Amino acid sequence: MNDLTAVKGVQGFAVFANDTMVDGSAKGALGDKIGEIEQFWVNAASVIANNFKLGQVKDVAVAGPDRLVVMLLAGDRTVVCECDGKANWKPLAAEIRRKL
Amino acid sequence: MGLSETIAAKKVPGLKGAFLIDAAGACQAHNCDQSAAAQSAELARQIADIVGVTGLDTIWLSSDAGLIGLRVTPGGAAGAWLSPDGDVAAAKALIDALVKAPASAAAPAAAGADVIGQIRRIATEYLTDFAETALMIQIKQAALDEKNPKPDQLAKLTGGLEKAALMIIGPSRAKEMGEKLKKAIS
Repeated sequence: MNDLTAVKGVQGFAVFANDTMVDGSAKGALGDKIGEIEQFWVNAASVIANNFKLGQVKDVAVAGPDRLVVMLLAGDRTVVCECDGKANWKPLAAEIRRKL
Repeated sequence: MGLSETIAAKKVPGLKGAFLIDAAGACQAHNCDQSAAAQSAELARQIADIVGVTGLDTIWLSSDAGLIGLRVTPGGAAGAWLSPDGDVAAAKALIDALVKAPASAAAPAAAGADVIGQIRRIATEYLTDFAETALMIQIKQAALDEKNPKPDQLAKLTGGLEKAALMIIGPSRAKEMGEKLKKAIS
C-alpha cells in the first residue's frame, strides 16, 4: 500500500481487518483509542446508513473540534487515517482513496 | 429559530433533509424519517459514550446514495442528509447552528392547551388507572403551565411519562407510548 501520510492532512494510518489492526500496517501518528473508534463507529455507520436506506457505506469520518478520523471501507478491510482536525473530510477521503 | 427556519437560512447545496432532537428526545424532522433520525442519534450517543473519546461527537458517512452528518451533544442531537455531491462544509455549519438552537426550537408548534388533552388521552390509553397520578407528578416536575405549555416543558413532560411508564407497562409499550406522545407535541 502507498504511504498515505504523503497525502496532505493525513498524520497517520493503519489497516484493520475484522476489527483488528493488521500487523505492520500502521504508519505515522495514530490518536487515542483508534481501535475502538474503528470497531464501534464503522458498525454504527452501517446501522445509520441502513436506517436512512443509503445502502453500502463507503467512507466514515468521526470528528470533534480538534480531531478527525477518516475511515475508508475497502472490501473486508478498513483503512483508518488520523487526519488534521481542521481538514474537510470529504475531499480528504477522496484523495486518500485515490492513493490506496 | 426552529428547524425549518435554520434550514432556510443556511441554504445548504444538496441538502435532502435534516433533523433536530432535544434533550428530552423530542425529534423534529424535515424531509426525513423521524424514527430513523431518532434511532440513529440514540445509537451515535451510545457509541460516543462507549468509545469515550472526549469531544469526538460527530459522525459523517457516505455511500453512493448520499451523505449523512450527525452530531450529538449533551443537549440533544442534530443531523443532515445530503445528496452524494452535497456541500459538507455548509451542512456542518447547518448542524452547528441546529445544535446551538435553544431547546424550545425542537418543538415550536407544540404550544396550546389542547396538546395537554392529547397527552392525557394517550397516557390514559396506556397507563389506565395510573395515568392521572403519573401526569400530575410529571406536570409538576416539568413545571408546566397547562394553559400555556412551553415546548421544552412538553418535551420534559412526555419524556418523564415515558420513563415512568417503563415500570408500569414495560419497555416496549412504554416506547410505543413515548412515540405517540412525541408525535402529539411535534
